Amino acid sequence: MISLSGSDAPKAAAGASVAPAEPPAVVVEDLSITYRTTFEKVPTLKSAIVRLGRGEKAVREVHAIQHLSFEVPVGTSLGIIGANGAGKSTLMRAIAGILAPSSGRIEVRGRISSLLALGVGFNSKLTGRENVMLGGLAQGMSRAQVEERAEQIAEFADIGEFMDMPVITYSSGMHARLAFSVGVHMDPDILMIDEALSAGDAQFKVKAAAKMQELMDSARAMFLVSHALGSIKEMCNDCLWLHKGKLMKHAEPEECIAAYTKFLEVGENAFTMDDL
Amino acid sequence: MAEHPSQRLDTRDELHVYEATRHGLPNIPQYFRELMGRWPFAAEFSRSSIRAANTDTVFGQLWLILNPLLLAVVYFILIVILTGTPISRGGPTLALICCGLFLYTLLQGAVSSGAGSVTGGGALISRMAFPRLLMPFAAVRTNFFRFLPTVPVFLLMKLILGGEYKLNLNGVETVVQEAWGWEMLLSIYFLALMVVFSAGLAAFMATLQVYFRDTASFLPYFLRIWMYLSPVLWPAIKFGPGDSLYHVMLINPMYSICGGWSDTLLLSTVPPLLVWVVGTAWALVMLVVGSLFFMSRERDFAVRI
Repeated sequence: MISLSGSDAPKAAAGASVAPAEPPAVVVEDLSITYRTTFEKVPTLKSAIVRLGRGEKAVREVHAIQHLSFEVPVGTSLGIIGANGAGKSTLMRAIAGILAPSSGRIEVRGRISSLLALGVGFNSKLTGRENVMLGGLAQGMSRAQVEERAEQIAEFADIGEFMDMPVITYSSGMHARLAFSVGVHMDPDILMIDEALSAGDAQFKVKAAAKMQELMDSARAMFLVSHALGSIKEMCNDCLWLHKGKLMKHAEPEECIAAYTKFLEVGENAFTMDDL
Repeated sequence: MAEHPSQRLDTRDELHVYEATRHGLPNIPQYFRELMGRWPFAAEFSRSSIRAANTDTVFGQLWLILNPLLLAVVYFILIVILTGTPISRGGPTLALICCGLFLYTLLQGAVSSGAGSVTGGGALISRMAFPRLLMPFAAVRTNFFRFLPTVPVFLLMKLILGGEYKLNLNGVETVVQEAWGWEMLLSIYFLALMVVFSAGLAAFMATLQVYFRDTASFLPYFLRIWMYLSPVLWPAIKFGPGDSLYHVMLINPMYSICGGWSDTLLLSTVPPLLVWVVGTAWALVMLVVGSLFFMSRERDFAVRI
């Protein structure tokens, strides 16, 4: 199904046999992300004062990513797998520039369109078209550029007259279809997809897969976070396996998935004893 | 900027570098270049929130005028009864209240909706990368456009109710004249100061709100008390140059900004130089302090909301 020559691409780029002058699309160097978050549901001044009186602290440090380094050469389609809380989404958000690194460095070449942004649903009282406009402008496109794409987006999402209805009236399938359509029509240089492949019905899935394939040919790199190991194996030519913020394996999808599946079956303790 | 749909955007060589600056400030010139570049987003965000609130319908517009007008009537009744204002001063007093109150409503609205702009930003904040300062600034823009329709209402009130009355200032009987003249145009400067000041304060409050979600509950009280301390419901000349409290009054940014506004727009007089200087300084200081505070914290927002 994949026209791209499987797992050869990253190796070829790394071996500098293809376009040696072209720098990698994404470089992550010794990245750590630690954030402080409160365990209060709603932090208030009142509770802060009460806590001060009792001498308690309400902030907790989360080490979401620890000392991660990797490169994503142009042409890579990188799958990211791992259990819940592995830091997959944190990594994606850091590469998209939403979260700041605590230490280390990220270099990104090109415009990122992240399907985690989902382009719609910012204001459910506004129509689909208005939400598309907001999402596009927030990504730094001009009004004219978004207007041009709005038609293609509406056509691809195939939600008909709902495009001009408030988003609050959408079914969840329409929502997901429009979101997918926005993500893939923003001319991304780097596309990020976070668990969004389940968008829409079977017919739409086929269309979505074809569109992703087309994008793979024009985009410089793609990131795919998914628990659906099958689609990682099918769509990616390189793979990262994260666990609790640490890089467990960076290899070809088959190898990563095999290790990860073994890990899941055997359980953490057995695995670490066996392997480390 | 129009281009052919099939033409790709040339963004392939845009290099973005993200490094650890969580507790510091980002590169400020670059930040502001990006801020200006994304302004269309803030404008659209503000426009769409106006649309979503139905303020572009006839009744929506009417409410924008009715709301401050009714508030003015409430304060008018309060003041006339409490101070025993003579009937002859009733009309000019109502004009005075409208003049100050309409502008102060701009500050109130901008600061309270600005304070909630980040915590209410939802998916935009947690899933998209853009200069977050656009959020409070968009709230200020929204409130500016909500303020504009009240200007002609005030002018009409001044035309019908405005006049002259006598005021006892430090034992000297002074005639206050609500006049029309070219000086009224100078009020635009004080409106600009108010917008700049509001933007700074909205950014400041938006940051506080992320860490203390009850900020928004305190704000109305804080803003109400501030209003009573500022020349909104009373004329600035009550504590004008010569009054022993004049220099104390200047510590309040709203004394020079609201005072300058009603001096020019209501009385057609040119305020003293000190009012211009202090008002400008306050507006700029608030904008810089509010924005820097916001920017030093904004990369923390995505995990805090």
